[in-house]
Amino acid sequence: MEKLYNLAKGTVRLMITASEPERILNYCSQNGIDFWDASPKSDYCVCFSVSASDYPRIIEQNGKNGCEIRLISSKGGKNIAKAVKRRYALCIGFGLCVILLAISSLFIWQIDIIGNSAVSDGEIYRALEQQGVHSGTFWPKINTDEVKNAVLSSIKDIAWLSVNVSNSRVEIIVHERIKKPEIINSNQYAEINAKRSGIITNISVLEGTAVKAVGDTVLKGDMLISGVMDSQTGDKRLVHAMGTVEARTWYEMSAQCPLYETVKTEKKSTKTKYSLVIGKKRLKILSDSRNISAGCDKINKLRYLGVNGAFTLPVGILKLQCTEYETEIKAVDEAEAVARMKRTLLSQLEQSISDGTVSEKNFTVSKDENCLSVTLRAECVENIGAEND
Amino acid sequence: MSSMKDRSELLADRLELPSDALSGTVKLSINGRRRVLIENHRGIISYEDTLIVIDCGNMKAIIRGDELKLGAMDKSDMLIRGRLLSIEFE
Repeated sequence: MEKLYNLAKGTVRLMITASEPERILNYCSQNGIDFWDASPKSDYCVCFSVSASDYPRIIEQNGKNGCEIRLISSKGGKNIAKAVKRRYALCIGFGLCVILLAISSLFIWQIDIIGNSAVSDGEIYRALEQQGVHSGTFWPKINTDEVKNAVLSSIKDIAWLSVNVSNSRVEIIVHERIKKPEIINSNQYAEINAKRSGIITNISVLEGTAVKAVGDTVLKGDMLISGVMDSQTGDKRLVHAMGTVEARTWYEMSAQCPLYETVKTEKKSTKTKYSLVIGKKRLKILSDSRNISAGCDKINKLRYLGVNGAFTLPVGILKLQCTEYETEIKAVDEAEAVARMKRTLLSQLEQSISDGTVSEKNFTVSKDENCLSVTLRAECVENIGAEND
Repeated sequence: MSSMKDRSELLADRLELPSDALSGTVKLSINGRRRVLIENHRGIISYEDTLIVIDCGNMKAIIRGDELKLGAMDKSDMLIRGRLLSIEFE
């Protein structure tokens, strides 16, 4: 940076020949002339660099006390101006680039969304677009508070939002809402019913009266714990029934898989084409994607030029990768298909019995002309009690 | 009879202040054996690529080394680069 600054200011390299060249160095330091890179060439000769603006003050010392000052080289400053003096096209081009860069930095070219998991990026992009925040928007017109409030009111799952605009980049920091737990009103009448059929193995009543006993067989919807209790005065008392009822339950689930499936076979040739994107406009200068055949997987990657995190230019390169494929009907690997279906069925079973365990399970595999079937029969122990107002 | 400078150094010692805070004595900061920063100097007496003699007011600092170069210099500070061999005071 210092070198760049010196180059812009202009520097000169001088050679001092004198009986005591140190005197010139002392003169410079005493008169506020900054110098650097001083190196002795011989006993009576020293070279050093100074700013071009200080050169006239040093040259005044030439000839005094037998001192000879010679200019070795001159860099930057006026030399650059002289070099580009007659290169009008270069100057105009450079000036235009600077102006375009300055103007483009007033428009949004990149929107980054951070911190969301449940709310999708697309949902936030749509909400922003409704407020006029999209690629190509003139950002000084954006009122970040208004945008923030509008997005917060349109997406209920967002608790807090921050909109930071820096140059041509907008950063949206999202904090999602944490869902409130369900609040149970313990004064309200409620009873516990069976959510599945089964044989009761254990009843634990916290509030209410048990209607069924251990060993009873219950059907789905049967009342297990009643919210009606006897009181000492003889009247009936209505309470909010609470408790757990464990029961043996049985599940039967099945999954099917076709014996033949259509698979893609990738061809060896993968074509990569590039397009130039200016703003939102795609210029097909480098390639024409219309020539790409229909039977291929296309992957588009758009990358705007710029410094990551600092600014983005409205000019980008679109990389279009096209991998051609052919389809063919192949027989499935039966062992792998069966294992996959078993995993899926077990996963489904575990989701079904959120509050319980699988005590016994059995898989049956069958096969017909076109289809492979796997059936899971499982015995579980789970809490079948579900609150019913 | 002690000079004004000596008295100010003595005062700085008594007050437990850094000696250069009151007296403006020369201060040498050596980084490894390739850089020396000299503060509060009075100028250069001799300058060669193996020897630099610096005026420090009431004494001289003699820096010996190889390929000694004056990195930068202003009215009070000086930066010397090169392979240092010794620093003597005279």
